[in-house]
Amino acid sequence: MTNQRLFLDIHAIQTVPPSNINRDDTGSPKTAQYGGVRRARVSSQSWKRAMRTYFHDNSAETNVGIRTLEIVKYVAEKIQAIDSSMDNEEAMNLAEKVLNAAKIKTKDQRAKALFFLGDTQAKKLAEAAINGNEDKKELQQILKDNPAIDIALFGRMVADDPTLNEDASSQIAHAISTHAVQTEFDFYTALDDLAPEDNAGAGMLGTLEFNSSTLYRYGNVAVHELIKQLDSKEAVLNTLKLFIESFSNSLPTGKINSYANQTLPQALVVSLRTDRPVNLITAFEKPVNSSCGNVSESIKKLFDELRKVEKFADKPEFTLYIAVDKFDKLSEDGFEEESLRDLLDSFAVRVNKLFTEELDE
Amino acid sequence: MKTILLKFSGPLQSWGTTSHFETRQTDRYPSKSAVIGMIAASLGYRREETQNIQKLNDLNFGVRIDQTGVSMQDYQIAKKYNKTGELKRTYVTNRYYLEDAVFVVAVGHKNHQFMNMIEEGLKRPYFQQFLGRRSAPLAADFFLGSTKTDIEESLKKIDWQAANWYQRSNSSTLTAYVDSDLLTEGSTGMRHDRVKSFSQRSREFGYRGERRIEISVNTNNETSLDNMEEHNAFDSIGG
Repeated sequence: MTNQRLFLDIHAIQTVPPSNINRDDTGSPKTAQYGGVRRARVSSQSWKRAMRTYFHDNSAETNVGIRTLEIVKYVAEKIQAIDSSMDNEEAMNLAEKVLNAAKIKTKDQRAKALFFLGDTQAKKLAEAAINGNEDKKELQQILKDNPAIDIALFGRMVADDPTLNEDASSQIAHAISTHAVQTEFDFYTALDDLAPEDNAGAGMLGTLEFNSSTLYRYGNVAVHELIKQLDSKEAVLNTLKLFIESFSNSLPTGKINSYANQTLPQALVVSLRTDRPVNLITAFEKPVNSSCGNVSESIKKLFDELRKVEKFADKPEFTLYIAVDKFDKLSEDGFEEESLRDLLDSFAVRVNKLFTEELDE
Repeated sequence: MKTILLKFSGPLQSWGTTSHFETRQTDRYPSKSAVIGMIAASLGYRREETQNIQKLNDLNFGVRIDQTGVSMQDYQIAKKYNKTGELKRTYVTNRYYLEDAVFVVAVGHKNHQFMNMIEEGLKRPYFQQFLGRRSAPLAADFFLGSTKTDIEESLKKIDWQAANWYQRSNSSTLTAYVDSDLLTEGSTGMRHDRVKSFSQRSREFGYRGERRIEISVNTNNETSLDNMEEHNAFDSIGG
């Protein structure tokens, strides 16, 4: 499948109420000019960090890997899954032996520092352990050939050692508001509880900067490249599902205790394309200018653009979406799902079908 | 001669040719090396495929500044940890971007087969394309079309791609920069912009000459996707 292309596109419309989730060195919310007006901006690296944190917290559950000190136990479980006749102690010892042979140091059958072990890596190490493979080179190759899922997806840059760099298979754009914003200043005072009665002044005063915005967020994954990196369709599918989930549910935490701006997307659109990834930011070059909320108008514009770009790109293999509001025409452009859970299930079924039809060569 | 014309637009772009370490500058218009990188990525070349990548230097190149954009500084930190998980240091990096800019990029070659391969790659890329940084994806309408004329002629004929609000308040005489060996007129300059290697171990660039010219363009243009059906950017070229 050398010439096969498979791109996952993901778009979200998400309102963030007064907040300052991503700020510059002076404390101002980040912005960008687009379409001649100033927009709110959340940098890609900020949101990617939120996504990676989500990955770390949830990757064990979705079977894409685990970041843990308990790597011996993790590999032992995989050994027992292959050979159920083995008891716990025996499996633990075997797991420790294979990890040590790969030059991963352990103490009291635990790693010395948090270690990310992908599901595929652990399974292959378990197989090697059962086969009695103690070749350092081969075992390290297993770890090298199957990079940790988050590194495959988001890449890695090591300033000191460029050979450890890995190009990411995902691409996350800076999120920008679909409409013009102005940064606002919240003037505040703090009172001194023990100040004398005749003291009329405040103990402290200052300003906080914030804005509120309806953001367009976009990301994609070069699925064909991820398949090469991870070498397992099951792992790829689980990773893509977790990618969609983390894109939807993560949020940068900047000033979140000051503003409690805990929101989720109002619309999520997922497409799979065989020609190229398509960013729909052009829908908002002309800023949304609504007197009563920007969300509905933004969702409509997004779907209009989805159709318009078919002048440039092929029709996607499929489009799945969730939207908080009902719009008559949206269903012409994709399949509406009731919830994120439903969307992920439906995504898995469709991608599985695609994998068997198109990629089995 | 076949020339491909591309439109680079979006909220953010960044085109560095002189940056090192923690301050990443942007030039005011795209570099040839960045466009070569984009083409190489589209064709699925890996960083180490130096021979294939260097061959793309043979492309004729020109870029026209249709909408100048605004300079922006982006503050970013990265934390480095020891193997034991303790914080070692915090890097502060300043990255510069162009906001709201629009460029027309022209690449051409006399070998049609070579150009057809590049066109196919640009339309069906293997790796994702981006405007100087990974976090600045291309817009969907980036592929303007192809012509049978040379770089200069193509850049002169294609309509002004700036947004309407910009066209209303700016001059229709645009600046373009073209490979110096393609022109006899125009002031010349050198740019650290000839690709030697994109390898992670040693990125290397040489110098490349370019000439600056001024181009007067048509102003009666609607460039948004809304108007693409009625408007064919290539009517005037006949390519």
